[in-house]
Amino acid sequence: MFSNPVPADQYVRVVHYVGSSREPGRVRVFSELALPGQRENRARPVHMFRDKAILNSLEALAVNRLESHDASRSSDLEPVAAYFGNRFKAAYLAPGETLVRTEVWFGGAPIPPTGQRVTDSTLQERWGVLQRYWDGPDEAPAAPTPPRQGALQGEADIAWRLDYVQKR
Amino acid sequence: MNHVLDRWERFWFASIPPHIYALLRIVFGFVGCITLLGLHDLSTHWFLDGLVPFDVGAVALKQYLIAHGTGHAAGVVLYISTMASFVAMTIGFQTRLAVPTALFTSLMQVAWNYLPLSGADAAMRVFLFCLVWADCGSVWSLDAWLAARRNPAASAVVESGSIAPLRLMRFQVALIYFNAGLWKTFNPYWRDGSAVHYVVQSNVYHRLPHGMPLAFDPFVSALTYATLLWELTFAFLLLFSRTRRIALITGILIHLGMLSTIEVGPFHFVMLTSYLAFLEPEDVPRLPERLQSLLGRRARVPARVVETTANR
Repeated sequence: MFSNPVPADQYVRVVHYVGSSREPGRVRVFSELALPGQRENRARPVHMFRDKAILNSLEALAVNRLESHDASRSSDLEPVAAYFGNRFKAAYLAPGETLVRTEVWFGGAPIPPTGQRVTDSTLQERWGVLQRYWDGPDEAPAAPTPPRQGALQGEADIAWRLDYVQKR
Repeated sequence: MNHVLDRWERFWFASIPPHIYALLRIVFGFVGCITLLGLHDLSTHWFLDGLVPFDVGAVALKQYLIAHGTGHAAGVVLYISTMASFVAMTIGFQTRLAVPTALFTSLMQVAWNYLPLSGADAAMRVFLFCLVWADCGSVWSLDAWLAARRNPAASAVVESGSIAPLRLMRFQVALIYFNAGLWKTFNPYWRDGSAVHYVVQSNVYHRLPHGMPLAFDPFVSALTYATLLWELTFAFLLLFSRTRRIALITGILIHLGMLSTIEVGPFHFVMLTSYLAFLEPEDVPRLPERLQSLLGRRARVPARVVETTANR
């Protein structure tokens, strides 16, 4: 167990693109946090098997990318995109709305080495960003063109990388 | 030469009371039931449109089930049959069938959806494999109770069993730690003493929001090396009764410490349960009496005669 500890806090967010037959051409974008499934600013008494499933998907992705020498490989995240996409569709979409695209972003925020800690201000800023996700899927303004796989973004001290895109 | 063969024979095939196998069956069965309760969200972990890899394990079967619209029903059937096999194993009902069925359904679960599973489940399957070869149901089971009701005279004598499955379980526990220790030596964070720091600070593992206080860092570094040393030496410490006790007590403390600071699911429970395999098999039949005397009550049920090669 923990043979290869990761020196970073890990996050996964899923971004849903919603089209509507009532407003053709308009796409609304919603983001939700998939990992960790429980708020990290609270104690976690119970195990969340969903988190383990996402971590295993990420590990499969890393191992398969290494073994296949294909850095663009992303199919290991397909179950994550499909599951969260279906869940979002069932919970939030109104009649006439369709899910047109789902993205899976991996995020990392470095853990300082032994003898150091993330400063309170950095942590508060990060939790401020995460609060938007904790409150449910967060609507963001749509970019003129959707990002391509491998795109990078930053939020507080979290560096996001787009690892999987599912067009529907 | 005969002396060596005799020792070999005794080491692997000496007769022991079956109570230790019954105890392991009950506790592993219970841990299995609790783990399955944690996986009760059928739409996430068991339905084929859940968080389930479609192109890994039993692909043709999954395609067939989806094509015929029975993916959800199959997930429900697999969950219920897995749970039923573990419940039957725990209470000792149709034990000869329940333990192999629990192993089979656990293997089916891996093929169906390995994603929520961890090293704990892999260890559990190995221990189940060992229990398949042992008589787990002749005592402390519903089977034994029903048999005693049918024929009280015959049930007064309990057949002893071979120690081989117990030896295999002990080897497996030693191998798990030795293997884990070896892998850790390849990682720079384990070599520089910072591995446990990164684990307890990690947002996906820590139980408390801020991880470990800064003042504990020297202790956490020492704990990194102590864990590595303990894992690498565990197998060798088991060889002698005095060092075996040290290895097991250290293991209990390490697992309890990790259990209180990090959240990794059923792993610690499975490993702590496996330590029961290191109890002296001859002491286990008297455990209920000891427990009752600890609780200040006298034993009501007399111990049943165990038929071993010595008194047969």
